[in-house]
Amino acid sequence: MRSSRSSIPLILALAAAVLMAARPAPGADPRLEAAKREGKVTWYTSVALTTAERIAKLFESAFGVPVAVNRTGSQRVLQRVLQEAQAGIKVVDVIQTSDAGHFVLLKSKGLLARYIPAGTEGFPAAFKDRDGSYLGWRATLSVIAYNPKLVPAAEAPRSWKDLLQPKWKGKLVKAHPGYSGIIATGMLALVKEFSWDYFRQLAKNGPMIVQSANDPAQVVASGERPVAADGAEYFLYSQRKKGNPLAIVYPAEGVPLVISPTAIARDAPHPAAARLFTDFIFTKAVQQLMADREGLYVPHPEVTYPADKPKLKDLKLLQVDAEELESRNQELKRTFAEIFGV
Amino acid sequence: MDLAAPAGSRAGPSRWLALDRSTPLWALLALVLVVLVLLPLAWLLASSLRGAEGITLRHYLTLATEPQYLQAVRYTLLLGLGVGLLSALVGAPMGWLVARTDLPGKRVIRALVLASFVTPPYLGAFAWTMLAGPNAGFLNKLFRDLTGAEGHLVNIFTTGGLIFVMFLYSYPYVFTMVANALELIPSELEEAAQMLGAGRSRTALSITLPLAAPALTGGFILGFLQALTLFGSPAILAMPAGVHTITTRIWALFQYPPRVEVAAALSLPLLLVAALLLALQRGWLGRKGYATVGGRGAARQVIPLGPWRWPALGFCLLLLALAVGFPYLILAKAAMVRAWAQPLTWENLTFQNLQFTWEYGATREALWNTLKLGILSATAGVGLATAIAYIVNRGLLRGAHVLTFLATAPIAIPGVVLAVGLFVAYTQPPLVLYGTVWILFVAYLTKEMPIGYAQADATFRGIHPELEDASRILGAGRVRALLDVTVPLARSGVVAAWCFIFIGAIRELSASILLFTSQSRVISVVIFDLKEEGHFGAIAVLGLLLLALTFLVVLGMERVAGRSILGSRE
Amino acid sequence: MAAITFRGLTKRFGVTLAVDRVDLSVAHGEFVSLLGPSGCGKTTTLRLAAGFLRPDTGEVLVDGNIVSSPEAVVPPERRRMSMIFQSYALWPHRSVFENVAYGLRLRGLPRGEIWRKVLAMLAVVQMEGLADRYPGELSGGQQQRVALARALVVEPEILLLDEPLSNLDANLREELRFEIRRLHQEFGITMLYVTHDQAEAVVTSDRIAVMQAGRIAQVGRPEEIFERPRTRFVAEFIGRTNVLPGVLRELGSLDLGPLVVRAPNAPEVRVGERAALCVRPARVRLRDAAIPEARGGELPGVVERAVYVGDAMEYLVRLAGSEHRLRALTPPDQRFRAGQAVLVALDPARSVLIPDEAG
Repeated sequence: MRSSRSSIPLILALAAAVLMAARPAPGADPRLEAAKREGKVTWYTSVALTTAERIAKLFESAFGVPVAVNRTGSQRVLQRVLQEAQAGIKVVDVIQTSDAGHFVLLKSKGLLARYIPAGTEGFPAAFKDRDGSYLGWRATLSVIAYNPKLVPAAEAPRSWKDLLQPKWKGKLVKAHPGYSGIIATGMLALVKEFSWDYFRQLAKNGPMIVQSANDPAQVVASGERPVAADGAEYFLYSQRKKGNPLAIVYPAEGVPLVISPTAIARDAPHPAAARLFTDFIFTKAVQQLMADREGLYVPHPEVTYPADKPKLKDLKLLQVDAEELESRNQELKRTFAEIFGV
Repeated sequence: MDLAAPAGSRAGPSRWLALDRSTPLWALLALVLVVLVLLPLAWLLASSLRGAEGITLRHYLTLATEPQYLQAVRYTLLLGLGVGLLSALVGAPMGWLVARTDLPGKRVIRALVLASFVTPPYLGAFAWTMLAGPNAGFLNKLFRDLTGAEGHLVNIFTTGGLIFVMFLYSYPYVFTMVANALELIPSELEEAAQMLGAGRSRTALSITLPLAAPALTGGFILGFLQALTLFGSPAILAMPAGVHTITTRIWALFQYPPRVEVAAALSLPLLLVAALLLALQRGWLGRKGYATVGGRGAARQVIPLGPWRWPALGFCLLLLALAVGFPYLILAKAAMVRAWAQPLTWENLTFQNLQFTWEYGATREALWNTLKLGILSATAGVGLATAIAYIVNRGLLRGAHVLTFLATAPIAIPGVVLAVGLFVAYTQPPLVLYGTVWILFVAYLTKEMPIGYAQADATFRGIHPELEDASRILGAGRVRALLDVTVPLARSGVVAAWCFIFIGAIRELSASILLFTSQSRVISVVIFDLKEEGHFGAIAVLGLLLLALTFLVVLGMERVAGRSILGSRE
Repeated sequence: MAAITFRGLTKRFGVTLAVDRVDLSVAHGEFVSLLGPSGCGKTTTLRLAAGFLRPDTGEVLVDGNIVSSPEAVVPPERRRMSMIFQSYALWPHRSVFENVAYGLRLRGLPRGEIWRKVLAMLAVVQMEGLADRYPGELSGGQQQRVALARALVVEPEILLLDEPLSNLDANLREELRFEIRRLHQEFGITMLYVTHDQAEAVVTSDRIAVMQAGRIAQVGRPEEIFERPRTRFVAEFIGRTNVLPGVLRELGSLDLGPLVVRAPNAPEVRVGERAALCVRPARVRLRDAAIPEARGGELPGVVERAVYVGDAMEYLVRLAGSEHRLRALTPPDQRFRAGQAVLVALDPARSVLIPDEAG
């Protein structure tokens, strides 16, 4: 917590910069005033709870507007948004998941407001939506991980295919695409590469099925299962930094890249606060913080990454576009349930 | 008699004067119960038959043709059988030991049984993943350290493990039923058998056991029903192993893309099995007269255990250690350390979990929601349950027995099923409750009605109706008589009912998990969310907080009632 | 005008007919008992009178005004009656004083007056010193007195009593029986008293209504009921009696089969019909057959059993040439042995002829 406090002045300075860029007016800024009048912003996100809470606190200390964080798996976020829309409940302001397909769906249902945050013109095309209904906020990889205390580096898996070896029977943990957008995206990328056969064989090793892409980190670190067959790289990275016994493998066959977009709900009850928050999370300072502290990849081109993070250009990245994710969503979940039982 | 009609009139007293003014009140309360129970069930049925083109059996066909659903049904029944048997076989002897023998430390045992009753089953299941996970589990590590063996002693992520954990939090029902029933069987019956020459064990077998049989079968059925309706434990223990129960299937059907109609269709077999079990129990008991059970006040002889005293105590304490001792110890450890699987060292110690739990915005809000809902639903539930029990016991409305049926019916409605019904019923006009805490309130009220009703019913049976008649004939109206006589006499029973409903609401997960929104999160849902991301420390903190909170409230209420809520007498 | 009247009162519980077309009038200040075995409908009748139950047909009238009918019922609290319950129904959470004072409080009397009246009433039932006790601390008889005091202190016009003495032991029962009678005379309250104990009914009542299977079998003064029962049921229920069934061959002569006995005249029985002669054991005379003394109408018999019952001897005598057995009570000094031949005298003036419903 100490470090977050020290970054507050920086964030405040930065917030001012955001506002200046949007409308260089002296005195009270009308957008900030509107956001304050609305009183709060409700954020549905799938980013790790610790990350979400940290960003929420920063925003509140910068602008005095509290953020109500609702963190759950990507698929649950979508379920919640759709259920609430159906019931006519207007609660959510900002929607953020790791399944880009969700945004194609939400856009087609007319549930998203168009908004292009200031200063994002120079972001890579892969993060952008044509119409500006959503925008990639963060990215991570779906990777293999193992516990170096239990598995010597020499014996550790190097590639996706290594996980199919019988010696990993009863040793694997795997997250659920019906919960996590990272896993859904990552699995679809591997299905496109290796076909479903790969997962049919993986199932024979009896992986323990957890829900969140962040949960394998804890399972592997505790030793309950020594190897994670997939998981969110940013979370594994930050957990390793905290001293947990974790080693990350970036297979040479290709690493799925997962881009997690954000959008503002059409029926957002606090639209001004939602826009202010969206601007905030795309500022260079926040994006840099996400890279430094949370181990995330971000769209901001000026952000620099820690030395021990692999550079994306050095990896063979496997990508799935948002439309395909959306169209194959049902197939993915049904086939997963068929193969893994849950 | 100036209040009556004029002398010689054949018209009879005027309707207004003669009408019992409290009748509309009773009718209104009965109506509330009808709406509470029947509305979600009606919607459930309607929803399961709803297709794009009108009424359809397609969803039922889906159940019959997709093997995963039949697998879930089979697995759930297997769990039910295991949990029911284990609960009856362990809970009943323990109930007997505490009710009838000179077992030492009965007070402590009762308190610890209360602790296992109060423990949410999902929290117990969660603690057991830390205790008996095959690799990182504490007990298995201990086993490897002590024996030098490889592999594991126990694996909680198995069917046996799941049955065991479900049993640990179901046996209190059997224990309580058996102990209370045995306390009410007068010893004279047993003494009569002994005079006729039956030995002590023969007496136990031929008289006591059959007399306790209703409690025993009741216990089995309660255990079975628990296993049928629990959501949290299988979600934590069975799903990682790739197995679904009916409840987790129903929950999964709510995930995107939601198939609410199939979930509704899948709810009905669960509802039917539960209803069938209860009907069987009623039918079986109905044929025999168990009038003696319920005759209070008869003196009971204490059976000396002799040399078996200490082994018996050991048996009870072992069970309680498994249900309460180990789980809370490991939770306490997890709450205090950075990594739960690492040893308790200075470097590993931290206040981070406490701090995180406290600063996490959802926690305080959820804690407040939980407490609010617990108190509200306990208060409203007790009000409704006692009113209904009163109506039935005093025969105030025609067809009052239908009310008994309605008030006890929810025991056969699993929380998830109820939630599906409520979700369908209250996400559309005229009453959109979804998105508010009120839908949870309605769910808790309905789900906990049977236990509140049973308690209230027993209370009113123990209060002679003539006590109230005496007040009325002296000039008190129905409501005044109720307040002057019945309410003060029923107080302790009512307080116990309040506690039962409160505990039930505080630990509720299976209905909440489908009905909560970001505006209406409760602690159980927050814990479940945290579990999915693997925040063990925060869960441990919340779990301990929940236990402390519940115990505080229950002990406070026990003080008010002046009695123990799990025992019929102390 | 009668204080309370039942007109064709009927009450069903499910398929059971608990009260069946009951007609009865109780005059002001009268003490009437409803007497019958358990399940005969007497308590139901009382609860109908109190307004706790609604009749299926018929009416209850108080002072000529209908207070209960199938359409509507004036609730108990507005009937100005009082009731004493079989369970006493004392409130265990209130002291003796509070129990007795309750009705007065409901009537809104000033504190001082409540105080005075309660203490006066407790004095009447001889419970002055126990006002602060709780019911749980009292004996059965004391509880009964408190129940009496609570019912009487409100000065009801009508007092309903539901087996108030049935839970007490014999001595106490007798004492309180007279106590109730005394209070009745002292306050002049109309009383309707339910009991299954004929001795209680006989001692306390101005009139008795004997009930059987929901119907009133006979109403009359105690001696009428006792001496002139109109049915076999009444005859047997009101006290042990000998019943000799037969056919009325001609007026004054009942054919028992092998023997013929003299019978009184009864307007309900016509010649040629079945009838039964009822004779109370105390009305049966016995004398030693060995002592020759010609008297008409005596029947020969044999003593089968002789029992000393304290203040009398009880004999079981078989009439010669038949299977009929009679009980006879004689003064204790008149002794016969078992097996001894005796002559039995049945005085027609002291026996009753009733239609034999059992035939």
